[in-house]
Amino acid sequence: MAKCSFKLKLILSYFFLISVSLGFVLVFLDNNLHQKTLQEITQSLTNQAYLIESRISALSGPFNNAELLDELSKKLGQKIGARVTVIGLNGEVLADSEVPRESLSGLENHLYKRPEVSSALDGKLGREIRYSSTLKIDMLYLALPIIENGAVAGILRLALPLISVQKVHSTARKVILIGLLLALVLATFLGLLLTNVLIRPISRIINASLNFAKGDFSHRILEDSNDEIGELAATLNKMAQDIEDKIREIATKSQHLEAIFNSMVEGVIVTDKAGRVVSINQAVEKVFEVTMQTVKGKVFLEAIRNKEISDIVDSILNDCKPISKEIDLFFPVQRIFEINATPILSQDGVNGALLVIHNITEIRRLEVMRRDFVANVSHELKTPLTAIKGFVETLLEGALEDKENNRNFLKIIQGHADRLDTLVNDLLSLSHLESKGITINKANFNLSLQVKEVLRGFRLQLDSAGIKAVNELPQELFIIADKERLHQVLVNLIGNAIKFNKEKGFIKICSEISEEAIKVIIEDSGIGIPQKDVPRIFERFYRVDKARSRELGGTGLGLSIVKHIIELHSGSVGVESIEGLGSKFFFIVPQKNS
Amino acid sequence: MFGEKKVLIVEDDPDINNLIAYNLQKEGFNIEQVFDGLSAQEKLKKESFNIVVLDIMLPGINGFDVCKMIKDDPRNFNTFIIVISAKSCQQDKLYAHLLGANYYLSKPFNLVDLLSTVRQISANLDKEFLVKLK
Repeated sequence: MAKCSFKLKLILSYFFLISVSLGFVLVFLDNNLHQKTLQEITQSLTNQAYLIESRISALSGPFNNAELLDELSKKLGQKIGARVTVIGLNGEVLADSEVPRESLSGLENHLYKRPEVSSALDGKLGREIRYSSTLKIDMLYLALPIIENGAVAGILRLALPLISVQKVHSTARKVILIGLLLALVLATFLGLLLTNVLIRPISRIINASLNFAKGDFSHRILEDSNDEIGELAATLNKMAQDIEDKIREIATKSQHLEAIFNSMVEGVIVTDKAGRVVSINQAVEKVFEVTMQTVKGKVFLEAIRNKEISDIVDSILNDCKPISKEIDLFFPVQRIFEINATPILSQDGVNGALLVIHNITEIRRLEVMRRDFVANVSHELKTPLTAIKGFVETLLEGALEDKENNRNFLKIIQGHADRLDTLVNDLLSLSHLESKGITINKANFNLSLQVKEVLRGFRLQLDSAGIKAVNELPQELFIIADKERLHQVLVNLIGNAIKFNKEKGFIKICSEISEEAIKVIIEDSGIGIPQKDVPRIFERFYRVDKARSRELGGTGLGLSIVKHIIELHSGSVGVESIEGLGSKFFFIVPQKNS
Repeated sequence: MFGEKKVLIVEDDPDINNLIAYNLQKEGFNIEQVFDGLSAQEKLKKESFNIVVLDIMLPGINGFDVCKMIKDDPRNFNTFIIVISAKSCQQDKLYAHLLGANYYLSKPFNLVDLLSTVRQISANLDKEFLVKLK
C-alpha cells in the first residue's frame, strides 16, 4: 500500500507539473497565436482593400459604370480570395464578387446592422469580426470609403472567412494536446521507472527493519547506491552490527553470571517487592527440591514451603533491614541453614529481597563432633584419673595396711596409669595424623615380612588364647606405603582381631592384588560387629561394647587411627561382619601415583 | 547408727565401682553394685535404697534416665542421689538437679568429699529416724 501510494503520488505530481506548464503554454499560444494571425490577416486585408480602392478610384466614374465595377470586383475578389462588395452611399449594393449582377437588387440595404460600413461612411476604416450564420464561420469584415474628387462616393467592403486563423488555432491546440499526452505517458513511464529504482532499496531497508524488529540483527542491507538511501542503509547496517555486538556482549556477560549463579554452593533466591520468586539457583533447586519453572512468579510460601524463610522475606520487605538467621529443616533429612537476607533497594524504596542460603549442616556436625570428642576425651581421661586418685586416697586412708587388698589396689592403679599412657599416645597419634601438612614417607617394602613381624610381636597373646594366625600374603608382596604407619595399621587391626576373637579362633591375613592397588584383608573368627554399629565403627571413641573394650585395654581410637593412616595414602578402609561369626577388616592402598 | 542403710552404686567402670564399694562398706553401709543403667533400673524396681551413687555416662540407659526413674517412683521419696560424673559443665549439673539429684561430684572427685557427703546424709537420716521415734 505504502509503495503504491508513493508511486501514485510521484506520478500525480508529475502529471500536475506537466499539466500546469503545458496549460500555460496552451493558454499563452492560444491567445497570442490567434491575435497575431488575426492581426496579420487584418493587415494584409487592409492593404488589399487600399489597393482595390485605388483601382476603383482609378476608373472614370466608377459608380456610373455598374458593369465595369461588377467585373472588377469579381476579378479582384477571385484573386485575393475574399468577398468584395461595393456599396453606394445610400446602402445599395452596387457590386459583389459573389453575387451575380442580376441578383444585386435583391440584397438588403447594407447601411444598417453593419458597423464597419457605418464607420466607413464617416471616412474611417471600419473593421469587424462577426459570425456568419450563412457560412457558419467567423468572418473578418473590412470597409473603407471610396474617395472621388475629395468626397466619399461609395464604400468598399471586404469579407474574409477566418478559416486560416481557425486552422492555425486548432493545429496549435492539437500539437499541444499531443505533446501533453506524450508527456503524460512519459511521466507515467518515468515515474514508474524512478519509483522502482527508488523503492527497491527502500523496500530492502523495510525488509531489513522488519528483521531487526523481530530481533534478527544478523541481517545486512545491500549497499549498492551512494545516495541518501545508500547512506541510510549503511547507517542501519552499522546500527545492526553495533546492536549485535552489544547483544553478544550482554549475552556472554549474562552467561557468565548465570554460570556463577548456578555454580554457587550457596543457594540464592531473589524475590520482587510483593514477595514473589523471581529467580533461584541450582543450589536452591536441590535443597528445596523445586525447579525454576515451577516456582517462578509464585508467592514465596507457595513456591518454597517453609514458613520460617517466608517470614524472613516478609520482614525484609516490611522493615528493609538485613537479617541473618539460622534455621533447621527437618525434611527430608535434618539440615541446618544460615540465611542471610538483604533488601534490594531502589530509588523508590524496597524493590525485592535477596536471600543467600548457606548449608551449615556440615559445619554444625563438625562442631558437634568436636564437642563430643572433647567430652569423650575428658571422660576417657577422667575415668582412670578418678580411679588412680581414689585408690591412692584409699591406700593412704589405711588400706595400705589391708594386706588382702593393698597389692591389688596398686595393680589397679598401675592398670589405669597404663591406660592413660596408651590413651595419651593414641590421642597424640590421632592429632598428628589430623594435623595439616602431614607428610608420609612412601617406600617400597615387603608387606608379607611386615605382617610376620607384627604377628611375632603378638606371639604371647596368640599363644595364650590359642588363636591360629595364618599369613596368606604372597611371600614377595611388595607395597609402596609409609612403612612405619602401615605397621601401626597392621598392629591395630591384628590386635583387634586377637582381642575380639574367641578362644581357639583363627586369624587370616590375605590380599587381593590388582595393577592399581593392593587390598589387604584381615579376617577373624571373633565376636563380630552388630550390623547397626558397622557404619560407625571407625569413629573416634565409638565402641560396640565399652566395658569389654576397656577390659581389653582399648582406647576406642585404634580403628580411627587406621582410617586416618589409610586415607593419608589415598586409600580406603572397610569392614564386613557377621555378629557372632567374625569380621573381615580390609584396607586398600593405591599403588599408582595419580 | 540406726539400722543398716542401703546404698546402690551405679558405675560402669568396675574399678571405680569397687573403690566406692570398698570404702562405703568400711563405713558400714549395705552395698549393692550395678554396672549399667538397665541393671540399675531393674534393681530399683525391686527395692528402694537410702542412697544411690550414680554415674551419668553409662552404656545403654544413661544416668539422667535412671535419676528420673528414681524420682518418679514415690517409694523413693527419701532416696538421696549423689551423681558422680566426668561431665562437669554447669548445664549438666543443673539438669541433674532438676531431675532430682541431691549432690553432684565431678570426676575425678576427692574420695573424702564423697565419704563426707555420704556421712552427712546418713546423719540426717538418723535424725529423722529419732524424730519419728519420739
